[in-house]
Amino acid sequence: MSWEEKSAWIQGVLGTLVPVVYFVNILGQARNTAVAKIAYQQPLLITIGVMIGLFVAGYIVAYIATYIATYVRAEAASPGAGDKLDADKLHIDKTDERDKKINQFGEYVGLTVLSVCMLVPFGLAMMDRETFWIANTMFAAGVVSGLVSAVVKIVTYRRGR
Amino acid sequence: MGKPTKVTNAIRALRFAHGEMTQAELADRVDVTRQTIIAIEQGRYSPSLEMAFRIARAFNVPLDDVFQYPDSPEP
Repeated sequence: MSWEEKSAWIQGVLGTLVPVVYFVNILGQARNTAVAKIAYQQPLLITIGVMIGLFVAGYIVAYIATYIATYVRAEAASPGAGDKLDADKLHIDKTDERDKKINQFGEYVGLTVLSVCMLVPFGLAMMDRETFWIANTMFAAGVVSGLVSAVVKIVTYRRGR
Repeated sequence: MGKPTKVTNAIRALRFAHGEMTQAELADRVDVTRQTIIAIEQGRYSPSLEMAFRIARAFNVPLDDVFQYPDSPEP
């Protein structure tokens, strides 16, 4: 699995799980409380911060795991070969033209989905609905577009294009 | 999503004809990832003209010996 494909998996999994926790919490409150009284701002900002932090942590863990796997394979093939590995020369995060094309295609589809999904908060704003719904539908649009983008990249890596 | 490519190739045969060159070795020579070589071999990716030339050069053969395209369109 190439580095960019791993990145797509990290983006897809973490970009879905973290917002789901937020939405379950916030929408749970919305069942019993008037949305105008729900303090969603801080949890929303924390969720976005946690997502960014986990993305970075995910990339670091993926890098280390890939290096360890390469080391184990090298040792299995030839004892002692693992110790001679140079992390800089392994190019674990190497990308090429195929990665760039798949990434561009995934981002293009994700951006198209974002454009369509953003019509919802746009409509809510025009109808003077609560900022709770406007802010959260905007966030949901970003989450959905990120997920679609990641899925498109993974499927394209697997099936070709 | 687009269709997988109609371009076929002889990379696998050429690798074996060149001292059983591994996919990793070819990837290093062409300066791409091994996953891209695998995708090209399996017909899941059609490389750019520049990459195609680099692959042909890695085997020291003309481009036509590596990549083929069907004469008539598929039904």
